[in-house]
Amino acid sequence: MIARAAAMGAGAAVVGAAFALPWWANPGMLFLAGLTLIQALFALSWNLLFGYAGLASFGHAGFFAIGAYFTGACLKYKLGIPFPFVLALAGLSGAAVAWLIGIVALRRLAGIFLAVLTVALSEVLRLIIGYTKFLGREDGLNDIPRPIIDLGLLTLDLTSSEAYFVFLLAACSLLTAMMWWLVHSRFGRTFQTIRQDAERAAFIGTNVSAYRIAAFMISGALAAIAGGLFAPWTRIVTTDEVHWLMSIQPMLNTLLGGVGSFWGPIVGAMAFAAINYGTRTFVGLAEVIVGGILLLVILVAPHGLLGLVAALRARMVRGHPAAAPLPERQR
Amino acid sequence: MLSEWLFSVYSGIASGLAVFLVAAGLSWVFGILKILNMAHGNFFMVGTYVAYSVVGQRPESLAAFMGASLLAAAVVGLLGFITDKVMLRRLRGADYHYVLMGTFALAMLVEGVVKLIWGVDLTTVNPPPLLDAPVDIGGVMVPRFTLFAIGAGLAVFAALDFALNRTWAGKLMQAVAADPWMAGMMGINVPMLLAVSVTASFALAGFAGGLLLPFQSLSPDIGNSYLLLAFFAVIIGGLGNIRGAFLASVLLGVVQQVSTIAVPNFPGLTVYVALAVFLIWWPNGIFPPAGLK
Amino acid sequence: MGLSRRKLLQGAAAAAGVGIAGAPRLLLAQGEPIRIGLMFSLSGPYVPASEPNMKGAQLAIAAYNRRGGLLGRKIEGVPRDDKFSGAGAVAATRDLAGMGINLFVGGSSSTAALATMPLLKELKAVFTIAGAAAMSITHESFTRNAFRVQANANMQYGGLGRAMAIQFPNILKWQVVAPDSAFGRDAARTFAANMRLAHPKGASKELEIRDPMLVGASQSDFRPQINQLMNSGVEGVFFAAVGAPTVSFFQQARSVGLEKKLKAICEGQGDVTAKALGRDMFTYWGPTFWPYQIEPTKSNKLSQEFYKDWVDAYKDSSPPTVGCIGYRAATAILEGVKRAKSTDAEAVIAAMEGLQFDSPTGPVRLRKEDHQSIGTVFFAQYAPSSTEPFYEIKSVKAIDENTVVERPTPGSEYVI
Repeated sequence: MIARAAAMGAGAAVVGAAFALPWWANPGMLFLAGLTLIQALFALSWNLLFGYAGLASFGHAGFFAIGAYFTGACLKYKLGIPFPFVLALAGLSGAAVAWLIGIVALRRLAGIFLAVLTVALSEVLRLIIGYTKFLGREDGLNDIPRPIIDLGLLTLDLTSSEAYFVFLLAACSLLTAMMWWLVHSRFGRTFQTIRQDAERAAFIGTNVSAYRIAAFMISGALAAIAGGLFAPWTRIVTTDEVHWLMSIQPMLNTLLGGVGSFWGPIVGAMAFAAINYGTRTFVGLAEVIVGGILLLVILVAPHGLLGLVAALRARMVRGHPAAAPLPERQR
Repeated sequence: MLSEWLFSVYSGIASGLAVFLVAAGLSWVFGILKILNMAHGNFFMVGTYVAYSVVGQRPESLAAFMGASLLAAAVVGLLGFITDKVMLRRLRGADYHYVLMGTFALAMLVEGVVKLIWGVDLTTVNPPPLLDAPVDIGGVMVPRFTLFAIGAGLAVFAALDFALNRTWAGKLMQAVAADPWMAGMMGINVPMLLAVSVTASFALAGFAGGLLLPFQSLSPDIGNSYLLLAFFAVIIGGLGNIRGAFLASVLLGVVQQVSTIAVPNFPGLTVYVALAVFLIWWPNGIFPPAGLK
Repeated sequence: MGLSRRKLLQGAAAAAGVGIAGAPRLLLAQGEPIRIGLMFSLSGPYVPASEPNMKGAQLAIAAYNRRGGLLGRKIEGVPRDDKFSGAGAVAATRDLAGMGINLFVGGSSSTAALATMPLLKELKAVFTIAGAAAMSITHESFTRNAFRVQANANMQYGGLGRAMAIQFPNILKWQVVAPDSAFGRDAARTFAANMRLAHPKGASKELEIRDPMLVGASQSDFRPQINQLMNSGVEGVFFAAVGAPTVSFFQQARSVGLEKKLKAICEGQGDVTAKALGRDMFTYWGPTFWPYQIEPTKSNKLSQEFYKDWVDAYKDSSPPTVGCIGYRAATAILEGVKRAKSTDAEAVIAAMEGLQFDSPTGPVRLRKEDHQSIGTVFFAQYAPSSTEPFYEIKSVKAIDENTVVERPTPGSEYVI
């Protein structure tokens, strides 16, 4: 009980500090903090699919890019759609694309094939964007204006970085809360049964296929919304957002933080941002550091930072090492 | 025009067999260990850079060139042995997603190290003098090295096929691939065989690196570009199936090269379309996985 | 006692420093140094081009410091890696701006430049671009606070078209091989259009510039295309891609003797290709951003000084010519501050519009309307040599950028 309260207290302190960031951090750090929030949401979307539904998407950047480009285009070409609606539509497009892929691919493929298909599809998306004039082709969509939300009684002018950051934080908190609720609902628990043993779940009457597609859709929608929040923050969207490195990021963040926990992806995103910031002057070492950390995590701490914390707690409470092994290969 | 089509088919066969040299090792590791080694392309790249360090820009003779390739094979094979010991052994029996991500992390690490050691500059390596000048076949200038690449690809395929299907060692490997538990029961030293297989497949990647050094320019991207095509070949051919990988590599190569003549306005798109089409119709590949063949 | 001993030690150290340095030192830095943010891609695929760019900028700063700094203050370059991405460029810009810096040199890729430009007004900053050739920078994405101090894509490839037309008036059949991207297709079009304008037979049907042969962005096997070129009766080829594909193409072309069949080959990369080919080198034409080995640049005082500084600082006697781009861009902003006698953005911008200054490659003018620099663009005949680095520049064609630069249309798209 005390531990629970302590954790919640720590969480509240972090969130409080985060809301106050615009006032105590310098602009560079504020910008990186915003990117971290977006990456955390993106990683969360990935883990919904992997940690809860057991499906690994290696091309998740595709959804992120769909949301980023959609939002960027709506804002740049001043289509007049209120920003919250733009985000909602971005989410819907992510879900729609996920549904399409799901009904075609998830029935026949799983595992490695799904992984490769998602990679191939995000590459095709990159090529398609490259051919599309109004999406900026290779130079991308630049000079994307920050939105001004008109709520009738009050207007939220998100042009300044500080204002947009607060909006970003609020949006991410809201979406995270929604996902938390979803995961702990009956819906979410069904996912877990499917992940643990799909065959048995089918035996007890669960429509495994439908749930998988649903998971894919929710994950795709959330990733697209993350992309939608990204576009006005950096004010530029390019094919970098569809690159396989962008697809690897949520994987890395989730593993670093801990796959088994809901908060894992968020903790991982923050940890990785800290590592990135700390090593930003080590030029040319980016791949070595990222690859090295990921490898280390997989070999030594496959349950990530939160897994290490849990293992430490178990050791302290029960007095014997609780080194959780890697999740077993599914039959 | 006809000669252009014929040449593109020929060139496709050559580039396809070049990809096969990389795909073979990838397929082999999958057949035995059931893991898709995403670091395979970058280890192939290590092989190219090692061979380049030995032979420089102008290999003096075919012997020096082959020697460098064998050295590359030895070095990368050793790296494979170490990788198996330090990393892959720990991941045996783990959820394949972790292994996939682990090999991916290894790939990034290796690429970073290659850039640190050899830099990021572009270079080219000449074929050895015997294989340099073009061959005039009926008015068409055929680069001599492509003939070598085809020969090497066919030779490697023949050797692997023979080794796996007609030697006792190969049959042991097939047994381990099909059912490791049972093979262990029958007295086969499964761990040793696995270690040998990994080492051999990495050595093959290193050897391919040396052989393909003069095929295109040398840069730190070369690992990823070969890996992508090798992946597609292995998946289309059927995981673990060397014959499938052979067929699929050649098919992909021909499709890719012919499309530059047939569909000149959309270069680069055909491989993805081909992959998507294949995965929808034959999700398990031409020869569905059943151990190692 | 400690104080006087410390003072003695300090004095001794200073005296020793002056003695070791040899040259007389000007008394500088009474006030805070003027800091210039240097934002280049220090990671990513184009490090071989952007790293020398940054080095050039740093040497320009050092040269100014030698002459007494700016406004009586020392100049300090603050480097940042933009990680070759839009987000990285924004992070670097905001990081530097948070430190109080409002003068930037960089943008070694179009993405990085385009990402930084919208922020400049809000940050009250001035930015000179050294590396990004995309047309949109001085057209539809134009912003007052940015100046492009290098040839844009149109000037680069149009200039090449003109140079080839003048150099090879007898070649009447050309083929462009271009990557299938906006950049590639535009490069092909501008090359063809400018060649036609400058060629003696440009107006007639005799000059045949065929539709571009498209190649994939990451293609590494060009054998079918090379085979087509061998049989096509074409006399001149322009290969418009950059990076590894160009080198692969040249290597594979050599293996069937394409270069012997053609009368001319040109490309858009320059010495990077020659360095990569090494002993496999054959003669081709390509851009050079700083032809220090050949007149008239050889006798240019600034070029000689820059070359000496480079060799002294980096122990490299064949500096990559892109280094000069960074040098010029840094010079532009430093001159702007000097003329404006202030680091205030509006004053610097006003001073830089229409500014003319000297560079190692001759005079450069910053056009007022669209902030595009206009100087001279150079194309070199790269030929094999028997000694390291196995290539040399045999001759250089200088094209006055006034003849190729497009009409200024800030705020609207550039149409060829």
